[in-house]
Amino acid sequence: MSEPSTAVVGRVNDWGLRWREARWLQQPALLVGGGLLLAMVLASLLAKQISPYDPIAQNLSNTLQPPGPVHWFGTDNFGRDIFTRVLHAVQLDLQIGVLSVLFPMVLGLFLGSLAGYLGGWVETVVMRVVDVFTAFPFLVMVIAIIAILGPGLTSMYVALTLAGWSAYARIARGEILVIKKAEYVQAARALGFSNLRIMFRHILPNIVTPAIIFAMSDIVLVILSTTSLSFLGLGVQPPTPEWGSMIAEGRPFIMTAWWLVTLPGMAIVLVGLGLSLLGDGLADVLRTEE
Amino acid sequence: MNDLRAVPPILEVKGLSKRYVMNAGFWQQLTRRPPDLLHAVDDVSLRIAPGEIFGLVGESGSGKSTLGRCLLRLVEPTAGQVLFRGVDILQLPRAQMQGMRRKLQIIFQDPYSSLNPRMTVRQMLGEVLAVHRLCPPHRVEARVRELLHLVGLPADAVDRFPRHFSGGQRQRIGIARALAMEPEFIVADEPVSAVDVSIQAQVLNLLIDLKAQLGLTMLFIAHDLSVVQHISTRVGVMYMGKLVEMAPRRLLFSQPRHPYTQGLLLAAPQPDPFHHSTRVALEGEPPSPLHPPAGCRFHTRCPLASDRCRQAPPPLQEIGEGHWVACHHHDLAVWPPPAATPWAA
Repeated sequence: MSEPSTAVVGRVNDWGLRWREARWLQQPALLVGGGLLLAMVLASLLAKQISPYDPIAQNLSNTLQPPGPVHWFGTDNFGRDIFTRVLHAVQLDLQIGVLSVLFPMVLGLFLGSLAGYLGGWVETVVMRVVDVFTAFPFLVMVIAIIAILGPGLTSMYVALTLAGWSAYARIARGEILVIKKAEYVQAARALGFSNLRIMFRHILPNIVTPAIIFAMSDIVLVILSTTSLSFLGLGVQPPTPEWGSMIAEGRPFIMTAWWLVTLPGMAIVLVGLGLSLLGDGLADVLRTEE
Repeated sequence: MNDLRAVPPILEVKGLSKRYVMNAGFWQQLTRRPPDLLHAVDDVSLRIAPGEIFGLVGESGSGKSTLGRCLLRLVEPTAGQVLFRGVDILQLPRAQMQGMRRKLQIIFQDPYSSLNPRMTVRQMLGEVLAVHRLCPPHRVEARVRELLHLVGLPADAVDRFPRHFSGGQRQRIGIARALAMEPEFIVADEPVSAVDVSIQAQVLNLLIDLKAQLGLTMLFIAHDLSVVQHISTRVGVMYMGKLVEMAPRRLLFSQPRHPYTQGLLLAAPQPDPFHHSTRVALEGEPPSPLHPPAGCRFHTRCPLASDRCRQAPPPLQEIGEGHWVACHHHDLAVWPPPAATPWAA
């Protein structure tokens, strides 16, 4: 038996492990994106301490004040402080973004993995359904489903799940078709492991990476589409502070009071930036792990 | 090893075939056109005695890997029998087959794709031991280290991921994983064709050592006769899904009888800078396996091809002690060929 090169293996790998531990901290995109989102969440948790105003109570003697030292983002047509409303909306908007991506992701990964792993008629049925769902324009389908269920948060989640799962099913199936052929999956079969174990221990961990990376950019898109839904009056109902509905309510005043629309819009841009950076950073970290 | 019929074989393959249905798409189904059939393995029979290393050689696409995978039912054969210690494993229900997998293991070709990139060596080997309850939980750690030692890897490899290892080291991990099952029979599917030449000899020596140490029987698949020459006791040569020649190693290398085997031997590079091959060993490409030639499948490339070869497929017949050839003109195939350097056996 030949002599294994212990020394070389040991040195390279100790270094490798240390590098691995520190890699999360070496991703500026990950740190900046995560920091940005964390700061926004913290600010919204401390909204009552940061700003003395009520996000909902109207003050009709103080409407349409421009941004200034008293009202940092100005006030809207009902005299509510816009900065306060933007802060209070962070949690709701992030919750909508995360949940409306999580539900379709779980559903899509499940159905797509099933299709890819089992093949045959299961694959045909699932993928043809995916084709049908992909053929509909996203917003048209969401609006139609909400119109059937009636406006509100729950029907918005249902609609976004039904409209969004097909992309994840495609990703999962594509990845599984590749990984199913990988010899380590064949090896797992040769080692007599059950289908469940092969699926959950050997295949799924190797396909979630692309799905997670896609999800990060998807959250941004979903927040944007929920804001357009609120804008259309189909999402979050007033007076609950939500960026989309704030923009919708400010639209008539865009020529005279720009801050009603622009500053909540800036909040959306910031969240989108944070999530994109987070997604990029995660992509680098998760991909180099392979 | 000379009288194989005296020992009951550990593994016997009878009339094994694997056909793939090609082009069975929507349009074909609609027009009811008969789909194309690809005969990856066509009516192959062989017996392997305990303790043997049977080398199986062929070009890529000759069906050698498919044959190897059929033995473990990683690919379900279309027809035939695979008898392991007299039991036809192709007939076993799923539950019993899982038990049989302990006895039959495989080493894969590509050490970069045969290990799960997200599992450490400890997880990989530990999983095998735990799922099949091969040792009590408190012994798992010790057994993992034992296995690593067996394949010549340092004990500190346990917490590393596959990406931390070189190709040769990964191949050792794959071997350790197969050995964890304590198998009696191993299919080695081109275990050295994806590793550096400098590492090949190490891996081959490891396999020879393990065979002696653990009393393994092996089907060793390779596309290269020179690899098989070092390790096997008997050698079989496949061409387009058919076994064309099978003989004890010395016999096959000193008196090859099938023109294809002779061509392969001539094509092998000689370690002699002044050697110039005086004739082209094998001409042309193998024909499309979707439409194999009638008669002998090798006749399109064979220097001895006659009308008989174009019509009737030659049966695999025994022409000497344990020497089987499928050729109508095996007595015309002269070896060594005139004006060519004889192959050093």
